[in-house]
Amino acid sequence: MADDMLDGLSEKEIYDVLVIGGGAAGLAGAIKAQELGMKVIVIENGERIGGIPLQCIHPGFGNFYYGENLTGPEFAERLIGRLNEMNIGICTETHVMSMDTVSDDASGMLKEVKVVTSGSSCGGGIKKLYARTIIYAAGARERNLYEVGITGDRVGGVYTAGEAQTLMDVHGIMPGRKVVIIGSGDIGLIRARRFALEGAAVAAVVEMLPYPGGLQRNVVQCLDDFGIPLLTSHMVREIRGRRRVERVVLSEVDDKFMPTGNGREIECDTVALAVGLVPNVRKLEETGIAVDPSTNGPVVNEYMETSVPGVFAAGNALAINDYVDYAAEQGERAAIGARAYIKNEMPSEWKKLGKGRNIRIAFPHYISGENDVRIYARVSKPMENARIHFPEIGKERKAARLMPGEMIIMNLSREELEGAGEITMEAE
Amino acid sequence: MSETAEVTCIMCPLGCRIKVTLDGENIRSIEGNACPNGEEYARQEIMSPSRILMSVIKCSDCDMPTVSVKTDRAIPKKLIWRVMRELRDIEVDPPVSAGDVIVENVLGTGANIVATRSAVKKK
Repeated sequence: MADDMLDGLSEKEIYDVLVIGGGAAGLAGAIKAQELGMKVIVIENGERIGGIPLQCIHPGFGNFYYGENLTGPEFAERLIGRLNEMNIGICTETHVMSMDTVSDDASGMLKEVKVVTSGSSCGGGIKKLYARTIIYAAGARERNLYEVGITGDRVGGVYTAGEAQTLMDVHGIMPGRKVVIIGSGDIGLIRARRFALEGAAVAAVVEMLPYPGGLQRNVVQCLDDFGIPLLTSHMVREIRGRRRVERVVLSEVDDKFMPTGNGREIECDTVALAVGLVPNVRKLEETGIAVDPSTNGPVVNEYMETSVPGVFAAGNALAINDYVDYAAEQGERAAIGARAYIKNEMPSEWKKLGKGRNIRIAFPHYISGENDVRIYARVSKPMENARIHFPEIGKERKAARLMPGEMIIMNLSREELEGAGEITMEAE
Repeated sequence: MSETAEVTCIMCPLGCRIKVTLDGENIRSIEGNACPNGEEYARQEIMSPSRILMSVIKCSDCDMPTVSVKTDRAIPKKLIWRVMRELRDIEVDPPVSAGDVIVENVLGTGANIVATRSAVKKK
């Protein structure tokens, strides 16, 4: 179908790498790809590139990637600065409609990406772009009320933590005055502090698990510093109000997360939901890629290549990362993969990385053994005095404490992988 | 007569639980920290707790209507509310570059309020 579209397509209109998403992973990938001599274009659906870090005004960005502790905007601006220096093409306000693989006599297999753009940076209307590879870095979406089983009235005043962040830290608008935060991951804890600093009363942070989801340091500096109560082993069951939130109904839960007792009410005018992120993979799924049900993101090999050859994934679109630094390094890895794909240097044999005892997620899912590889993983439950272990290659590391909320990074060298078949990661 | 206090370190994601033994006003021992930063933090947290403060200030003429800011060093915890009140009344004009000093030596703390997000005039 698309063959006629390719007629008269000149070499200069074919990109080596088309990056979808102008956040940390996409920008780091675009920079790396151009540094490797490839022709790059970045597609971003927002008004500006930089991604979510632009609205994350707290520090904790760049410790590994830049060796400095930056705020989100400072981190984003470094990437943007480098991108601008390199004159990389950017299309903002541009949305991907579809992605296909097409063949062209002169150029071989190409990716055809149909976009609709309302911005001025790349003209208006519907366009088709052609590239040899795609780095898909479209980030994540926030889980909503219904995904965590909260019912009640349809009222104003219910926001995701990210929406509240956009209102407060980009637009300078306070969403409300008396707030209940649902979810005690770092995002929920940091939002609780921002509400408190701006003069709102944070009535409670509610957590279903028996322990806080975020780092202990954030419990201290975001909740304890401001006297905000943390209700662990509790769940909000209902949100009630007439036009605006007036109260939430919550219960204690047992060890199977079933509500016990009659529940009680907390008055509030605002609810902020920080109940997790899910990789934003809808467009990728339409191309038929394999998805890992434990990460909710694509299955990838060590080059971050998905099950569709030439399509790579990085950042929170690949799996939810703890640090922006990981997203950026995955973007770079994908760029290195894009070059290997274009040069026809992709390994031909892949061995599976298996998940053994107490490992909930582990990726990349396939490794070749020809390169050093970095494994990203999470345990399925909190563990003390633990050992992370790859029995087939005899590699292990001791860890005083492992928490599901903290990603484990393990570097396996080419030498360690030598001669190995399928390998398994376990924690005990 | 000695007493002990427990401090959770916030210097890095490890979150060491540090035991500080006090002899009246003086620190007698600090235990449980994995690195020297932890010892320093625990000492500071007991003697005069301080925090780096992050917030946003208004910039009505900017492409994004706020500029994010931070204190360029930790300020005493007890002054956080007063600094927040100062920031509420400040409005800046574009252009702003990350790193620009917005308020020098805020409330005599020795810390400057610096921009962490650049801004240009809105179109």
